[in-house]
Amino acid sequence: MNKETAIHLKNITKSYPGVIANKNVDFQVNKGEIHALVGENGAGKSTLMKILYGIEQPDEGEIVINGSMETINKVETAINLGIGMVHQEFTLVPSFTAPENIGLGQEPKNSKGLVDWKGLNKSVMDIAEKYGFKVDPGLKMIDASVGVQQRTEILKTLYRNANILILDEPTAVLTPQETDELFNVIRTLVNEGKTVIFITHKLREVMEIADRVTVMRAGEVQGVSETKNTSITELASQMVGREVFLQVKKDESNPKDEILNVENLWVHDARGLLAVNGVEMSIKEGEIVGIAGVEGNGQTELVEALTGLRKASRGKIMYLGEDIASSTPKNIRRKKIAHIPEDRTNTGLNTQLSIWENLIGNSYFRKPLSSKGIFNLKKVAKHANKLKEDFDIRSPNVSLKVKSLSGGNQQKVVVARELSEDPTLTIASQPTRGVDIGNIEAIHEQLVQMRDDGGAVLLVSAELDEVMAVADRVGVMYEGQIVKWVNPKEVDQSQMGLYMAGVTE
Amino acid sequence: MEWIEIFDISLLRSLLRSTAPIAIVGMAAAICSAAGVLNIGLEGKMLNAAFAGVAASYYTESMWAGLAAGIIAGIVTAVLFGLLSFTLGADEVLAGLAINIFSLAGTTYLMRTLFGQAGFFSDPKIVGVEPIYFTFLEGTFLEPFLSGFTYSVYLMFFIAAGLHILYYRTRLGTAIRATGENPEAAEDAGINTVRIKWLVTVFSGLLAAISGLFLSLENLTMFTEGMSAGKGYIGLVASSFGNATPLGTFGASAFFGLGDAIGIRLQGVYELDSRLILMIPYALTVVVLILIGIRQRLKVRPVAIPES
Repeated sequence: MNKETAIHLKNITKSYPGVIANKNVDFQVNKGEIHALVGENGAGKSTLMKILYGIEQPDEGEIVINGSMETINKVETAINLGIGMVHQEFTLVPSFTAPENIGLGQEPKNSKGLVDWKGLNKSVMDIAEKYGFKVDPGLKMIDASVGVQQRTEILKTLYRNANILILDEPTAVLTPQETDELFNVIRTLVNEGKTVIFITHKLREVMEIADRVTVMRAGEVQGVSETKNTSITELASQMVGREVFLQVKKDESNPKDEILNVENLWVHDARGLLAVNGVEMSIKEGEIVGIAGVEGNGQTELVEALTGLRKASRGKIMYLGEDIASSTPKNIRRKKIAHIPEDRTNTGLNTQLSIWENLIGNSYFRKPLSSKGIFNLKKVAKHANKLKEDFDIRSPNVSLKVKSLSGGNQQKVVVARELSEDPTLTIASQPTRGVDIGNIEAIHEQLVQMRDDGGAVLLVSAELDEVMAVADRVGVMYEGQIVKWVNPKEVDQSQMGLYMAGVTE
Repeated sequence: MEWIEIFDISLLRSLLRSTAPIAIVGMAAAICSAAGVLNIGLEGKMLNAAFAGVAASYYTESMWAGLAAGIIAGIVTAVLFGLLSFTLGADEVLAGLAINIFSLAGTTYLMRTLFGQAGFFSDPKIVGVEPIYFTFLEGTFLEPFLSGFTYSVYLMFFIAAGLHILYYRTRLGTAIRATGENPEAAEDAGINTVRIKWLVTVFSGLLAAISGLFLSLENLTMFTEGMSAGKGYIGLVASSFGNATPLGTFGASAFFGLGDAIGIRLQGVYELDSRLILMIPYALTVVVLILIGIRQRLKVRPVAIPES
């Protein structure tokens, strides 16, 4: 191969107190290619990119950009070298328009030293046109869709003359259609001579868009391959370090009596806006019902209403024949409804407390764990250690703070606690968010086990693959309503994408 | 005398005089708030400046020395706030409260030890700021509107206009607003947000000093314990009601100024209890806070459930 090298990170090592985030990492990207960087959470992708973008400094190693060795000790240096980064969390000023955001810090000035807004608008529109972006220069970002916000971020890097674009998990917040649009944008960029680094953990997307892929695990590079010479299975096992079963193993569901029946449910969100308007659904024992949809279409509020965390504005939530719509979270829990919340660190756990304290959060009041308001610490320890074994929580002991665990192990603490009290209905919201592939597998198996033991499961997830693989029946949520019920075996991804965008024929 | 007669030129003049200290400190609060700094400490900055101005003017018998000392005191207090909040990482609200309490106690103590006075300090040696009379306006109909105010009354219009241009037509202003709304976005654009916060804090010290000096050397020529009397807080409310914009804050301050001015006039007309009149600005503060609450609600009106 005689391609020019755009970036070569040589022998990069970076450690934080107690953790080696990057160990002798060698990362090389050719000019004009789409290079995917994949790995589980905590594999060291982010650290490597922070080093490249000047946010972090390596302990050892060299950075070579376009053939010359560089020291990148601040973001400005990276920008001046033509490196642009689109972070997972957008860095946009909500009340500013696209041009105002794009030009921020570098606005052109007129002869009086004042900002030349017209000139800025024009140069932004010129760049947008060159790369085939559509931009509404008067639209404030607070009113813009996620896709538009993302394109504004990409334009921002182009306005700063970036030749190398780092996109950090850009598809995490997009519908399949928006993802397709993004991929078209990326292809146009590469045709115009740009180099793109695409960070993701979605291997199907890697195969679709990338030329080459670097896989990282535990701070080290596991392999570099051309996508045409590799497969999803191979990449997955490189990522996890063992063979992974991407399919969830489960038998046909065998639904029996109805457990939950939601009738015409309306819920307002924290700002007082209508988030759920007229949801109807039913869940039977022995089945997993999935809710798919782009985040922010009312899934959060639906789950909060079902678990008593938010008052429903109208409608009924019939659970075993009783309306629990105006019940409290505590009473709902006592009726054996378990809840794996979407926000692990704020709702799911008290990260400042120990593992055992978190594990008994839903059972501390019952015998034999406590009696007359006093813990039986021996029984508690036995209970907590059993859950630690059963759910494979990797920690030296249960007295450590939950904060000290990795994201995947923290989630296992939540799952262990919620499934430990033998729930009749399990409501799992984004149960594998921020969890690595190996542990995702385990959590999926546990949900299927709940079902096979005769429980009812509601699985809400923004990961389409997850809902399609685990659920027996899937409702697609769009703008507060379930617009379509499907059998996951009978629809394909692009069909689901249309439903998720609200198109139901 | 009918109530309508309250509204005359002298009310307008009184309105401008009442508005000036609130508007100037209000715009200090606004620019801080625009940059994401919750500057509770403006009250203390005003008080220190008012005291330093009176003290320096007394010792040197020079108005300019008084003004300079006041401004230095305001800026030094602002730097103290910055050190506490940005350098040492203290909570901004607590740092501001600490400064306010410290300033009240400090000026009271110094007045007693330096001048042996309690309650208030007044002396013929204190040189105050004289009103400016425009001779070329004499005899014209503009004279009663424009002539015979002290510096700050004129200055507040220039500060409002200047800040408006700064906000919307300069890189610095854009950087300030970006820092307040999304510091990560600003940092990502290469803006040093800590430097921006320092800048607005020091600038707010200057404005608060001008406002404090208005009280002790322009409106009166004396210092009284706690003479800022909550104007720094009223400024914060005005800034909040004005959405932290210069013109909005100016308008909100004029509302407070109007209340104050009407109160003063009513006192003359109906011989109301003066303590009741003094309460007007604070009562208005509560009214404005309620209005802010209502506006907040109107902004995100819940969608009504249609009848099915």
